[in-house]
Amino acid sequence: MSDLNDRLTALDPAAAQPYQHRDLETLITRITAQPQHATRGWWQNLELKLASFLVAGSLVVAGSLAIVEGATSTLPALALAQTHAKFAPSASTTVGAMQVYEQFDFHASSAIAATAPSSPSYPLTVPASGAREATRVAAVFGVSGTPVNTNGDGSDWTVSDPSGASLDYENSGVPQWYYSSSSPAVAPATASDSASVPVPSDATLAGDVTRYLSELGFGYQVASPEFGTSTISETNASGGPVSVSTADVTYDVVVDGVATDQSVNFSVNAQNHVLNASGPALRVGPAANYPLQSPLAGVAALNAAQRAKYAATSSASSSGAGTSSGGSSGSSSGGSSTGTTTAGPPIVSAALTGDTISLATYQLTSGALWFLPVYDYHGEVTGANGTVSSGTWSELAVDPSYVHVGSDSAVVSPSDLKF
Amino acid sequence: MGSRDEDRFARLAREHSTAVGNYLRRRLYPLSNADLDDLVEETLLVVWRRLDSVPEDGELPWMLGVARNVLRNARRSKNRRSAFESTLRPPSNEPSAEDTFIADASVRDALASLSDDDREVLLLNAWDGLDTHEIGAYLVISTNAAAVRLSRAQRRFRDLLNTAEVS
Repeated sequence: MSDLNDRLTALDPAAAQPYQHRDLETLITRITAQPQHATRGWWQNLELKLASFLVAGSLVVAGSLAIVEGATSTLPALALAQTHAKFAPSASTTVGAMQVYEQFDFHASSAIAATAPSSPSYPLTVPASGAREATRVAAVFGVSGTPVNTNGDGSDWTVSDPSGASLDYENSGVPQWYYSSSSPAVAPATASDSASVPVPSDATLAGDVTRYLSELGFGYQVASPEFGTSTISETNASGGPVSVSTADVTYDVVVDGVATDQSVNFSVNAQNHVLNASGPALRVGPAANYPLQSPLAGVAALNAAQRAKYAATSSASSSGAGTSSGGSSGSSSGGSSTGTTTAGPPIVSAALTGDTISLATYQLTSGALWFLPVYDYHGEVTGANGTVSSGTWSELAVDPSYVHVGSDSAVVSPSDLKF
Repeated sequence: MGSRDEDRFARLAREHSTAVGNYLRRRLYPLSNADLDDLVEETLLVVWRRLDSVPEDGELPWMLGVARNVLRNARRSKNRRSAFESTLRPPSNEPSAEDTFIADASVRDALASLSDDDREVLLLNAWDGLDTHEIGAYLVISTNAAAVRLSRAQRRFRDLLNTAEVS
């Protein structure tokens, strides 16, 4: 095998460009300044305890019923193992993943309401058998075969057929299905954001999605489609270039008109054959009306979470930090990094100009899944150099008096890590 | 650096970040250095948060397992074609990985003909330098099972290559 290994090694893409991080020591410092046991924003572990009358009897929360202190006997009680706001600035070129080492000081504009709205929560049910569901979904896309337990632990199932079409089913958290019309190419695709040949219209693609979702039978609704086209250039088995133009669409999964953090994606080729598709495998249960905190109170929670996040490293103080205030919308608010630290991050002022409600996925420590309402705040951040960037931040909307925070859960194997 | 955790994390980052970056580059390219840095950072952030779970005798395979999940997440993120992949095109002054690939088309074709599982285990060995014990840790299977899978993959790869070159 040595000769073949030599030939393989000669093709190693990393051999020609060995990776070296541009500033590893700064990266290490930045990462170790963060809380060690935090979880990702959208995937908060929590323990949800409900009064039994609230939910359908089929909901599996046995053994986790409780009444949180402070809640009345007629109201549902929630107990979260851990809750984190989603600090996910988006739509910004300067507030991105690489700039996580910042402490935001949030200021609420007058558009942020001080009274609480109502928005339901929803229990989710997911298929009991990953293998069976993988087979069923695969059949909808015309793929028949025996499901293979890819990771050996039941967390990932793949059904493939001789043509190379496959259905991958991730069976952890909110299960996700991924259909691909062919095996992934070893050589990567390059893409452009336009079609080189005519592709199906938006209406045709929308009809495809409707038909497939009906056959899949999950029963969830989708909305807010984002249509696009692209051309994928690949290398065929003979080494020649192959270009495939596609029409693509992404839908939000919605519940009673409220957007969720789940989405459905479809891509079809010029002949309207589905090339790729993906989405969640879930069914939405009956609504449960948990009381919410006000959006303004949510801003205070955002600030509290920021202080807690950097408490271990920051000795900075800022006049605005720790309180949510009715500052002016969109202004620079002093505009810049307002504090200095001995070891902590720079404090950056964020002016929140509005909010919307969406539903985010939470998992109980028992494994049960829920859509819970969150406030998605929109605002602007003014950097130290005066650059203004937009961002969004999210906070669990459920009234904290119905929330009990517990401990995090451990993950012991990379195969268990799902983000 | 202060605590033992910080010291251990710093050591892991210094010893293995290059291997993690190479692993990611091999499986998602063309890839700009800035995008690669982002994925490595995301991987290291998970390592930091799950430091207690990193096995002493299998640190690199464990970290590559995290990188695999980061990669999977990146590939499957919303609008991954239109939004994500388009950002992964390399600057024009960077050499294309396909330029290297095309040099040995027979090997490339043989690789493309392998099953995903065979290709993964073969390249973990040939490119990432993992031995059968480490492949076992990465795939969460026994060393023996990893050895069997590697042997099978190598045999199938050799057969495919021979067939291609004879024809």
